[in-house]
Amino acid sequence: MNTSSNCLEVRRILGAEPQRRDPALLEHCKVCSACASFMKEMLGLDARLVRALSVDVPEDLEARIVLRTAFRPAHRRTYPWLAAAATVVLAVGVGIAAWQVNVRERNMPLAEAVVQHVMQQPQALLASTTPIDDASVDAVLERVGAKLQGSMGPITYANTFYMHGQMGAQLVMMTPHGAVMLLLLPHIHVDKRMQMDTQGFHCMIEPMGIGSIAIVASASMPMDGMEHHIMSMVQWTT
Amino acid sequence: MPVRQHRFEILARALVPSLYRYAYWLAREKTLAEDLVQETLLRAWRSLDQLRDEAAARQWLITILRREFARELSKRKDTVDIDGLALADSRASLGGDDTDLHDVRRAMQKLAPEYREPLVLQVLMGCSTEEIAEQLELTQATVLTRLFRARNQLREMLGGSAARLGEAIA
Repeated sequence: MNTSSNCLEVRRILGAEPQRRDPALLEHCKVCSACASFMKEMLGLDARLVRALSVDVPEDLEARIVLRTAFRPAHRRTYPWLAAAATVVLAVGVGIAAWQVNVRERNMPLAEAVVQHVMQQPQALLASTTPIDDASVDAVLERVGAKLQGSMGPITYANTFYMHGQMGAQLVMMTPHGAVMLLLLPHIHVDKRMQMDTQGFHCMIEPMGIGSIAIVASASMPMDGMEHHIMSMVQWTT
Repeated sequence: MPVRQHRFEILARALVPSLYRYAYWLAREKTLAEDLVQETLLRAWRSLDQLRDEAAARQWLITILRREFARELSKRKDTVDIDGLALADSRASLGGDDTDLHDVRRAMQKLAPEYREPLVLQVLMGCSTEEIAEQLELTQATVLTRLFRARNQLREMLGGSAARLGEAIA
């Protein structure tokens, strides 16, 4: 490859595939300084392109996608309960959005804090679809001064969490329509039901005795009075 | 964690960044790019069992994303000038005070879609000429020509020294 027509062919190749490393191509560039220079220019352009094309990716994009799949059944007819779970989780978020913490040092609105908490907890929803044993659930609820009366339904996740310095309990419950996230908030009282739709979730916060309960589920999922069933199953012990 | 969910999370972790960037350069609008990636991954989640070979995941997701984009274009056809969206992007998103970054991004935005997309697939997504041809339903020869012309136009816009020769070849 050392004729001018070969130069044109070499540059056509390098302009389309600068990373191509054919032996004949490399040989030609060894003896043709113009084509070697062209190769260098093309590789330099590609380096600038790689940098320019690498626009910033929204930090929470992956988490949001994973979270949404947790609320969305892969096969709706096979796992209808997953959609229900999503509905519950949404309801919690909505309710919380309307909350305001009544302690001055808590500078983040409660609603915002709850939604953020739910969005940052995909592992709670993805942990398992296998129900955990009743004793584990009871132990978590006992720590926040709560107990279940009767069977609420399969619970796949139970743990405590802190929000604005107050401990709450977080449960993921499987229903015939899907997973639902419940936040038991013994130290936060609301006067009436609050609801909010945000980021694909429906959140509901219900006053419950000394505290409140937040229910979060997929925005597309009807609650069908699920909150009444849930609230009838939970009781504060303190 | 269920195996299926675990598999999906690995897939998302590996490919969401590059898919978002691809979607951005396809749509040239951040919000639309996010929507496209989310919808693509949710569709992938629903059909994950169809993915037999993890090595084919990238191509599979690109195919889904391109279909989603076509759907979106069809919906917006009569209401939004999609080509006008990119130019509305802020200077910050084009590279801010980094002059070279800004210049290259502006040049990329100005490339016609038929030249920009194969270049993004090659440079950003690491697709071979054969894979690009398959995605865009073109011959490999056409893909090579478009890749060459894309770089040639970029060189012209960026003041490359060999632009004229490239033009002569193309």
